[in-house]
Amino acid sequence: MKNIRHLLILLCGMGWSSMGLTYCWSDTIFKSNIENLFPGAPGSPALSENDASRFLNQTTFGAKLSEIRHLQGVGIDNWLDEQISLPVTLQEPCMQAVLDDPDLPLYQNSRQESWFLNSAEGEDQFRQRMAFAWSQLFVVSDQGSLGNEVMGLAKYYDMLALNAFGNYRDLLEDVTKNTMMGFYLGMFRNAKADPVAGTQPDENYAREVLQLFSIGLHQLNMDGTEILDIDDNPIPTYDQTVIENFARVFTGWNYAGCPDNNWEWCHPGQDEVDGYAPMEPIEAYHDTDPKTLLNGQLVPGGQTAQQDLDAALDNIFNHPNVPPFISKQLIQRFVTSNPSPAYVLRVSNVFANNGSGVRGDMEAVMRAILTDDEARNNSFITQPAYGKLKEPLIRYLNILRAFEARSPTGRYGNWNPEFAYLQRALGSPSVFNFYKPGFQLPGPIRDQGLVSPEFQITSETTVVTIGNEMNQATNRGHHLYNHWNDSMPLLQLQRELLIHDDTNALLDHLDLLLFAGQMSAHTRTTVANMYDNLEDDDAVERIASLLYVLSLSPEFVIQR
Amino acid sequence: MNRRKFLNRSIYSTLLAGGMCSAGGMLQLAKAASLDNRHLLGTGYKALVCVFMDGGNDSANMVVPRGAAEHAAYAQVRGDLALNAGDVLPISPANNGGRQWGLHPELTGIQSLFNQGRAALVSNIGSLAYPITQEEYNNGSVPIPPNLFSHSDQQVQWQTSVADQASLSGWAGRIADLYHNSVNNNNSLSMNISIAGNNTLQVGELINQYHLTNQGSVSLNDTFWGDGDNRLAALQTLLQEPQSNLFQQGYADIFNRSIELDSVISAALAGASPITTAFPEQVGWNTLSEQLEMVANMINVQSTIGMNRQVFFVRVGGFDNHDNHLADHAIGMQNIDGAISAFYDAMIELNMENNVTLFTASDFSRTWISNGQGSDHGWGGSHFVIGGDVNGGDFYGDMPIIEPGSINAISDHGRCIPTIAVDEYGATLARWFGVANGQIADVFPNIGRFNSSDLGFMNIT
Repeated sequence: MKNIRHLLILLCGMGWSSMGLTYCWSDTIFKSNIENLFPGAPGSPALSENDASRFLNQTTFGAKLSEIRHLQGVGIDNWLDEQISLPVTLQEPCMQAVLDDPDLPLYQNSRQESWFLNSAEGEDQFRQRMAFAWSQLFVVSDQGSLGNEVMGLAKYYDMLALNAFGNYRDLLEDVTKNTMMGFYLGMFRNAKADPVAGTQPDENYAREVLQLFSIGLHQLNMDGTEILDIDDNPIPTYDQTVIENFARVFTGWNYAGCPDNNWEWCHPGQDEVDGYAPMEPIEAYHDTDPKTLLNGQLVPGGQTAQQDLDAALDNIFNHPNVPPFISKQLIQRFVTSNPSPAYVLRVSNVFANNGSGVRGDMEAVMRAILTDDEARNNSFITQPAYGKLKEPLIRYLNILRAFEARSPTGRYGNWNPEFAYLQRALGSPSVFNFYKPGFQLPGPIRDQGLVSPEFQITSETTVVTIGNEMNQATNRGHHLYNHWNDSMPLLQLQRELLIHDDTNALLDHLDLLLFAGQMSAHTRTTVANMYDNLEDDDAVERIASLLYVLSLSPEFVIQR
Repeated sequence: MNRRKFLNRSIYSTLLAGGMCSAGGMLQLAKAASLDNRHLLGTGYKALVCVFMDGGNDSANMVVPRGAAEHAAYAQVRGDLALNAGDVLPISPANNGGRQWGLHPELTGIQSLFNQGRAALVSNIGSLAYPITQEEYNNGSVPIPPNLFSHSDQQVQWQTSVADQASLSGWAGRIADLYHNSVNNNNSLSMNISIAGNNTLQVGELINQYHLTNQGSVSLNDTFWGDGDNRLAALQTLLQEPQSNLFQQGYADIFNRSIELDSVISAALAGASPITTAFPEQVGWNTLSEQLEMVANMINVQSTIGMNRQVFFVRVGGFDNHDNHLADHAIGMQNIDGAISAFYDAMIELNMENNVTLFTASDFSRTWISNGQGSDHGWGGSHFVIGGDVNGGDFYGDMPIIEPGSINAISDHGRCIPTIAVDEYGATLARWFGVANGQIADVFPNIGRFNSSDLGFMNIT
């Protein structure tokens, strides 16, 4: 199993294209039969199988049996070490392979396939999951003006993956200088004010980097709660003047390698001009007047674009809001929508100082998030406000991974996941992501002052569109449907077929894989009754029926 | 404050016995209202349709001064963003401020509706905490809404119409809380329907919004393999089991509502005689035309499904043009013009043109000044109201003067200071919808701070 997946990644890197359909991945369902169907638990495991499954649902795109056993053996700390040191699975080689093939056009479809491949099969699951989280914080999107930027967006995602556990300050600079972000939020070719033409610098990046990528709108305590004034109102972190000053900082940037005399028309393909390298300044277009940034910090006049940028990003990075603002959103993405202030505080403190005096060490922050008592202690599971709605695409990937799905061609033909799931890698409707961290589902959740971000894309419509996708995904395990669409992944149900006539054993197995052992007695009884009374003699269909119902059950879609 | 406004406000306070402005107070009010079976004024069917232009529509290029001197000042301020006076579509409102006006060249359909008296323009609307002048803004003597110029915040403030507080509900949601149970025969389907996903406008304390796609409601297609009946029964058993976890319960509630309402709506839509008005293809990514066509289809079946008062929400993107503004804004204008014109035609076909009022909304308007082919986040902007019951062919409110150093803008970037509050705009629409004078402040708690709850652009009987 492992070898085959290594081969896959190798093939991907080589742009291997001699097997049938000429995408860069070519493993097929028939080659990847699960070798060790029921690996046993290790002797003296570091954690229980249910705890391992629960941890993997928080940190990867879904638990699978081999990974549960492995984690049980090595324990959480070692597993995190292993994951972080694995080679980074990238999208760029796949995009390059498509680009190098004269018969293949490079569309966003290829990038979506690459995202599904890496998210479903990449060995560096934790990093891929982290890259997906970053992609929802540092948002760029192919829904709009970046629609034709396939390689650029693949490289942007790779940049997030490569930086995933590095320092937040480095990530912020890489994001800021990336041409995709430059195009998306207007820092690319943003010129200083031109009194003759009557133009002012573009404020878009200045505003969103503060509002969404770093500090947010209101002053925060380290525990993520808002600081209130004497009238109990939140206190703004900045005003319009600060935005205009940051907008002037972010002037003068263009493609890397542009000659100084070609601000307006230089483009990739010309000598030395690189459309994907970090943007570089042409100083004549940079505003060199003094600027006043957050908390009144003054940037002196006469500095270069890079000097101003350094000062501005340091100014943002050192704002007291950054640790709670970023930490809380990451907790929401991985563990629970409503972390206690104490949990946020513990993580924020690590963000502010990793123990060695370093601020913004994301590896340390993620370890703090995932090893915290509020993430690990099972007593939280029964609290009514604990947990989160799984992101729609993660629900789907949970199913693919649990049953080690492959398509007959090795491809992932989910080109438009946003139609059903309302999610798409680097494809949100706007810079505000698919959902906002403060969205409150009306009803008891809102009445209790709780937030439920992922519910913003959950409606009477999406529960059904996702239900119908799950219907297809689960019954694709059925032999009858093998050739229905040879680019869509099929579930491998060899394990489940071995135990299909033992309802209890089958449900124990699915409880571990899909529910981390949290399946309630009511759910278990209900699906057992259904399973035992299905008017259907086909064993694969019977299993698929079970998976379909479980994949839509409230206990599966809510991660606790 | 004049005497009349003071009196009005006293009446509101007496009626509402205080506590109105807190979320809890509003919740109690809403509950009380649903208990005493309050009725909307008027009979027959009425619907409001909100077209939300996502990202901040540049209304300074939607309605353009075309008099020579004023256009020259406009062109000087807007620089490379200016439209030519000869290209805009002339209109002749009575309330023109002694000035000559034209619409964006792509708005041919709306020009025609305007000339027929079916479209009105309400000028310089924005989210406001209190009325405010340029001087008051500059010296900070009057509170302003928090986080001005932020997309998310201004969208929320437009839709809550409580700009200075963290209101949780939207004004259409509050109307539904007050009246839905008494005015609509079908109480399981919400008064508020969104064809564009979650929004704040239609969030109520009691009555939440219902979501449709632009193709209608979607059905679980669970019967084409194996034993689908048993699967569906098991799924429904799981969804109907009370959950102690709030997220599990929230998910189950949505799913149960979906299955229940889909059977009603799908049957009604399938059984209706189709609308023949053609809705145009749109340019680019947006689906406004399809969304409005679905609104028309739902209005077509309103009596079948037992609805007398409805609010629909649709959304169109592509207005946040920090770059490539002239070309992208022209596409946006072309899209809204085609879709809205077709929608009005469909209402005529259904004999519903006097029963349905469409209005536009947006985060904010944009800076008059260019950032080099683009424009940034502004504040006050103009909006269209369209329908047979609109006192159309005219402007309501004063058009800002676009010139260097304009009294209507803050700073030299040309962020226009609103002269009409979102509250006044919404209240006028709500009064047409049937909200009684005495209940307007239930829906728009800040309305007493502003000049009027009836700007005059609707035929309110």
